[in-house]
Amino acid sequence: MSLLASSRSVLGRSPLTAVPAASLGLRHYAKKAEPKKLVFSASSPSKKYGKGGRARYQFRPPRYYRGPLHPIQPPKPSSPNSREFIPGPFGRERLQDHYHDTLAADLLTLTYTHLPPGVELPKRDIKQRLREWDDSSPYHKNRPLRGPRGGDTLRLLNRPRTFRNVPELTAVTVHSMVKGALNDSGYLAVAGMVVQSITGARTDVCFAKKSVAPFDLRAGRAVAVKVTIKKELAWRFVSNLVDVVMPRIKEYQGVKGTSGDSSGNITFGFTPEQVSLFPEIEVNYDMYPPKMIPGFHVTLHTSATNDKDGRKLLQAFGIPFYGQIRD
Amino acid sequence: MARKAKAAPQGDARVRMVRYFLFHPAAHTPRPLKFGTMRMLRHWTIHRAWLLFKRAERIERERELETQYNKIRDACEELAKTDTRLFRNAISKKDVGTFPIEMRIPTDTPPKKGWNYGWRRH
Repeated sequence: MSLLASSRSVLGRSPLTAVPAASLGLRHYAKKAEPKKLVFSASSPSKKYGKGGRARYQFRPPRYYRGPLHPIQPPKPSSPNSREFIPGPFGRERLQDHYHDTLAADLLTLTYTHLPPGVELPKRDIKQRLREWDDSSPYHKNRPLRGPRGGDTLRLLNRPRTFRNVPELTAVTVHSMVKGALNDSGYLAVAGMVVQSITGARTDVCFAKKSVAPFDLRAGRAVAVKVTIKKELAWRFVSNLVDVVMPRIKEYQGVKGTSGDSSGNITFGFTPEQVSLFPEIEVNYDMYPPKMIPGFHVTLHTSATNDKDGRKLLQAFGIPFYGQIRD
Repeated sequence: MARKAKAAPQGDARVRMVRYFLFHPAAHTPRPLKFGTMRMLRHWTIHRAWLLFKRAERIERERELETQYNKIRDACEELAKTDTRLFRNAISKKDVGTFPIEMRIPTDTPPKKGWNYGWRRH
């Protein structure tokens, strides 16, 4: 941003030169007030910067982020001199546009819940959802509140549908566990490259948390790669899935109707043969050893608070579901 | 002194290439851009304009949805005053349909025979 500051000072000088110095009785300044032509144009900046129009001072972004208290902070990722700068966008995402043009309005109509005007929703207190202990034991004192009835997890609140909470795609997670990685780390590298080329984002490596003897798993070993993509990348990934990959899978049934984590996120999987149908893999299929191409799980995160609405959103995208549908 | 013969690289060449491109990103990632003042200003202006455009677009979309929501709600209220049975049917969640599997994401370049005029549901 220092570049911008310097340019602002150049621009700020022009009104001063416009004041006739002689009229102020400043004779020795009058010489300098010769009408200098200051021309600003996008292609030819002032001569101060010499050839090429580059400022003498160039901000050099630090290679590493050294924490919030370091005097030199990296520029914002939107700034072109940032190391994280990604040029673009160069086009619109088709599925994203389709969602905003058509699907959002349809989803609002399909999932509309009537709230008569003037009626206010009762405020849900967290103490109503989590139960108190019944003081039958002296050890109940100062304990945190009991979990809800019927399970330990506190489910998401299903608020009535308004124009502000129409379900939307928020993120996509691709996770691939490769068993071969226990013996040969090459499997993990290939899986990382496959997932990276499909999603367009760098993968993270996951380590086994526990040792599981029947699976030959040992705690602390790298066994999987995963990546979470958002915004344009996520929309692109889903539209690719729906338009290119799923129609090409032989006898593809779709996503299992019972899939979902009951808070609107739906997971399904692809086998190695299906993964090799992705266009990004197919174009240079020879780059990977065929037996090392992994299968993976895809989780579509939606802003819906239950599986029913999440599934409706995915059906709107064109993802087929089969079998018993559990909402 | 005779130099030791270099050990032949182990393993699959394809895996080696994959490893190389995964773990040596510095070799093929470009340096951060350096712009001149005016070019930086131009970029900044366009960036701000793009942010403004996105904001306007978002607000417009939200407003459209709001209008639609208000219309649906008003219609339901009107129906409640007119006919209770119809109103109950209208707000019931039973047999609410979903999106047909035949629905496609629209494209700028649809195929020539993309539209099947003879299509029937059953």
